[in-house]
Amino acid sequence: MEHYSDEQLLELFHNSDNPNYAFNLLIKKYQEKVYWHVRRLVIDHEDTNDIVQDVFVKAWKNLDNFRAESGLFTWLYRIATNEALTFLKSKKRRFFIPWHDVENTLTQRLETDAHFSGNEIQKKLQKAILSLPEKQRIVFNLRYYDELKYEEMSKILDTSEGALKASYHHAAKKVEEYVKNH
Amino acid sequence: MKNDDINKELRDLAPGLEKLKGENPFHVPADYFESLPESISSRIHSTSSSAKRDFGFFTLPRLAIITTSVLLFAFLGYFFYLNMPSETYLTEAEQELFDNHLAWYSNYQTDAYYDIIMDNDNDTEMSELVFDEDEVLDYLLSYTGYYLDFPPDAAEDLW
Repeated sequence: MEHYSDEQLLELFHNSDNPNYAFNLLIKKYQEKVYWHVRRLVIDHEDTNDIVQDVFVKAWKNLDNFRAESGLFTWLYRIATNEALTFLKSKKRRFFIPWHDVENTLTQRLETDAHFSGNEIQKKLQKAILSLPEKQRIVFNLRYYDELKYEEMSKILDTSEGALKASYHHAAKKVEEYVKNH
Repeated sequence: MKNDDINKELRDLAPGLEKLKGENPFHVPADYFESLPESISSRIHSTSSSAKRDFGFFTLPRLAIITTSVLLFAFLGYFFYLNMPSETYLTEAEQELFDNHLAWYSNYQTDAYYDIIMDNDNDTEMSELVFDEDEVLDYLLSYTGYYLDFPPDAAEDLW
């Protein structure tokens, strides 16, 4: 699937008789990246599955208006981040719980998640990441796991590269400290 | 090159984390990514058809309900307007009381009495009322007993 560039996929979507086929190729190209980005934010597989499907439904609905200059990958990550944050916020609102309690809930879910197979040190690392403030957590995940450039992150999060760099540095130090001391 | 830069940055920042990198402790159910495109297509299809349903079964009836309500209110308003009583009707008891009062009042306030029987038209002056002289006499003789004050021969002249 990877041999189709974003431009080719968009060309195929807009100008072929079968946009469904083109969109299917787009899903196959990006589904895993989008899934893991969301999964690291919401932890639970079922929640992630729902969010990922919503992300691609939104992409389908808005692909006609998509302007190619921002990059398909950046655009999808942006939708995915917003959807994941909206989900977490709605969770907070629904149960009237502050953020640190959502973090506790996610940590507990980590303990019971049948789809988590990390060892103790991996679990500790995930708990350390969950202890970060929301924005720092996203920045850390995008850099540490997805290995995105600050420039790409800047487009996704609409934040300056300098601020992102500072945020990542701060987050990395906190995570390391947490892993050492717990 | 890109990874090298990121790894170097991490090594400088938090060397302990570099060792943990590269392992993904999460996993997904078997064949999840193989079936995901189909699940997404189904959801796209169902949301598209529900959007159509929204228009067909919810949006249109909403318009119809609003239009019908407006028409119904307009019709009822017109109906009540047409059937609205133009005068205030008195009950039988009120009418009798009013007549009695009017009869009593007429003995003292002749001009006012005429005002009342002429539908409260205060602008109507007595001078505008034209009575036939015979009618007046007939009325006085028949209803008021006024003739008693007449000299008997004058009454005879009248008859």
